[in-house]
Amino acid sequence: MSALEIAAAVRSGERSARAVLDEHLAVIDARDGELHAFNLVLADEARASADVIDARVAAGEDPGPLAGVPVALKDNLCTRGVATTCSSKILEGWLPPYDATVVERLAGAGAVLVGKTNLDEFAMGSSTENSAFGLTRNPHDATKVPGGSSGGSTAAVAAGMASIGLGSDTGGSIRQPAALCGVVGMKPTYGRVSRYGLIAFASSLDQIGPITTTVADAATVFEVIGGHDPRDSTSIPERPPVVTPTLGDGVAGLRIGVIDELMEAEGMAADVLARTQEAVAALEAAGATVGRATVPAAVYGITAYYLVAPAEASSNLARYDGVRYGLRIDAANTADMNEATRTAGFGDEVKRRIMLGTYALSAGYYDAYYGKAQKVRTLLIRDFEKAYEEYDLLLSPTTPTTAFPIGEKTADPLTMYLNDVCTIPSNLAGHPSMSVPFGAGDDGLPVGVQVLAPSLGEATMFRAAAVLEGATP
Amino acid sequence: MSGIEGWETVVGLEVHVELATETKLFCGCRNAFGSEPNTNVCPVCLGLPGSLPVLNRAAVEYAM
Repeated sequence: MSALEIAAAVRSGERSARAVLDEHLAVIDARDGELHAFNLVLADEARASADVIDARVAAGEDPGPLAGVPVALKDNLCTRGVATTCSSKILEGWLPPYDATVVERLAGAGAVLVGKTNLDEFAMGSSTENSAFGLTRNPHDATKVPGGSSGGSTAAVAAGMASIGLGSDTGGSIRQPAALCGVVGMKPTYGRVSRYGLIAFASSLDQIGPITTTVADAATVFEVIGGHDPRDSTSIPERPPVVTPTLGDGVAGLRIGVIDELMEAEGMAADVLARTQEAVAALEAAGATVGRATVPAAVYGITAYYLVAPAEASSNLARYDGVRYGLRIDAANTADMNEATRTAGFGDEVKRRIMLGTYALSAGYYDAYYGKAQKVRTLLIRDFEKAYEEYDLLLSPTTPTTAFPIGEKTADPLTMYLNDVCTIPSNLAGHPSMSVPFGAGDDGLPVGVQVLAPSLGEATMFRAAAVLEGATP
Repeated sequence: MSGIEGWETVVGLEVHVELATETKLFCGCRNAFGSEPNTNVCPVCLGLPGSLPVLNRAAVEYAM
């Protein structure tokens, strides 16, 4: 059952939220020992929430559009009184005293929180192998990665442990795992979804988004979590988004451009490119005009990102100093305590990015590195603007390959970074984009195709996604 | 006193102004002194993970 089907059945009384939950908990019992999608399963709390939903339905109330839907939350989203670790030793045991805005909104819509899911530490990674608590495995093939950094939420949804998941996407961390696990993953326009309560990695890039098994589910979750939040100054002053009424409008008459620079990027696998061409054919058959688009600065995306994101991370992670919360390794003085705590508390990739970022921002190097990267970002935004004069939507593969083996890309960070070549541009530009499953690779593993839209263009983006979903091989 | 002719006295004033806002610069906690410890605090001014600052409009207006 999709999330919408679950909600309809629960609201009408046809199924109990408790029965739905128990089904999902059974899958967790059966498979999470192997997959490790969850850092923390909240079985008792979830049962209590489900019972409350059922009582409300029995009393004639409507718990909301996600009534009884089991949800998995990436463990960088603050949940009041519930451990929130960012899969890092430095926050082990920390209990936030507040809920993230998106958590409040999901609860307000009747969703049932099943647990907190694994991620690459502080959302830094593309495979969930950087978690301090052990990796997550791909439900389609346990020898393969689920992608990252939202690998836990994605594996949970793909395996049927939760009906919907929330992830965060800074360079592709929702869309890339969604592609590798064969589910839908969507990143909104920057500012559409409040970041209040999302533990920050890179403040100008981070966005929260849905991970679901259907496009319609993603559309509904987006409508529930989106909309202005006065607690987030970067939150766009718009009402909650509306995308479900036009979901079935199709793509007839739309102009869609396939991004040249991404199709020809280094490392793009032939089977992924073949599925993308089939997606093009499907969109044409549905009445869209598909051509080739050029976004020249896209080739500099990874380089610019791996200066901007670590720079912002070095600032955001400065607060983890052992003073107020989380891990503290005592020492003779404050400076030594800070150093001992951060040495013990952060993993290698986090340390790497903090050092990169600090260097890029340091006096004498700021202009050459961070300043230059921000200029490249402006060029990319301009290239997108030009492309969107010619096209309503853009298209590309989501990832260069299908899911790769665990351990294959951990030796050289740069090899891992290349996974984000297709996803990074829309983070840098602040545009919405989403991955839709579209067939399989030669190895039988899922392939995802990415639809990109200009800022605030989610409604059109979802129409194309719905067409692709209906045409998937 | 000899030596004082030909010297010009220049006095600099470094002025610190506390803005009399109701609440703090980046959150809604009361801008008050002498309250019980740990009362005028929230996730934002504690810098808790996930918190975000929201600029106090009155502070900007007073400063200008």
